[in-house]
Amino acid sequence: MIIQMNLRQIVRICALFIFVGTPILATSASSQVHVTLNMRVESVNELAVSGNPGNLVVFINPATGLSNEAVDVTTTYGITTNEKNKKITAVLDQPMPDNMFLSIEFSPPSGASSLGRVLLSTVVRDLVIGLSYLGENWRAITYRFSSGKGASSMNGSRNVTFTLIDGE
Amino acid sequence: MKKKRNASIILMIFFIIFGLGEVGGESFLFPQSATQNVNLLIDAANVLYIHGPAAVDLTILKSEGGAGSSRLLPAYSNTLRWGIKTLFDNMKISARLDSPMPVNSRLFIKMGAPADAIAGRISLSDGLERDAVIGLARISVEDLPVEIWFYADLIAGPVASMTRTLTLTLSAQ
Repeated sequence: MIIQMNLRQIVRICALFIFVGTPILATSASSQVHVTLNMRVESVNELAVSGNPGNLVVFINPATGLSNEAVDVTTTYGITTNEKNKKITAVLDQPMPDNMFLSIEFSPPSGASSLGRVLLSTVVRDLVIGLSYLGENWRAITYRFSSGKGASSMNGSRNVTFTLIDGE
Repeated sequence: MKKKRNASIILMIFFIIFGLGEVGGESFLFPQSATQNVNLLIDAANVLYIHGPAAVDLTILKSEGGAGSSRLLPAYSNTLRWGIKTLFDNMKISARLDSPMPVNSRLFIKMGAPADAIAGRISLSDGLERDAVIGLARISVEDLPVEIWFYADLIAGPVASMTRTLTLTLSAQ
């Protein structure tokens, strides 16, 4: 009697498996998992120079008081930005002596504009404007050092700070 | 009358012996049966699971190779692990995002392949379903890597926040 009842239960379970289990198998044959991905892109503004320029030496002609112009093109800069309308500025850490002139020119990356030869001082000056969404390396830096009449001798150095900031 | 009463008594005795003696369907006076306990289990034939954080953060912070580079360093994650149990042959895992990536950004994943299966780095940027692992057959493995790369071009600009749902599906090939 009890065996019959258990067999009945087994039959019921088998019947249940046959009629209900088939769609269960079909569903379980496809297992899914979900993962949330949070993504973000930070503002990237990077500026670097290849190194320091060589010595800039000028000779003053005692007769005229004028000097030659020392030029250095040995350094380059690289820039990467994922923002729009950035600019590069330059400033000296201390002023130049009277009648001595240090200028710089940055070759502009594609799509940007150079302000050409810019006289350096302790006042921040723009060198390149209109920098947008670009990454370029090996752009030329040209230094020029000269003196005017009445200049005295000088043996020193200056630090030039370049900054990549928002344009106007 | 007396015979009738005797017959009733005999009938009562008969019921006591053969009727009440059977409790719960089993005769305790004359056991002629046995009991079997049958345990039945229906286990999932296909299980795909992921271990790791509930959400994966992918943040692009800098350029690839420093100033002057025209490419941003992709955000990378390998914090997720995956595992599978399948009783079938010729199974595969496909992957897709709930919506395409924005223009100028891309998402790639690569799932570690169990023995005898094939997996490679695939792009999910267009939001379409792609096969991530194929050739899965009657296997039970876990702790396999899931690598994710998020790329953005410079022109994409800064992106404050963007979310996508990655769905991995185990199905027949």
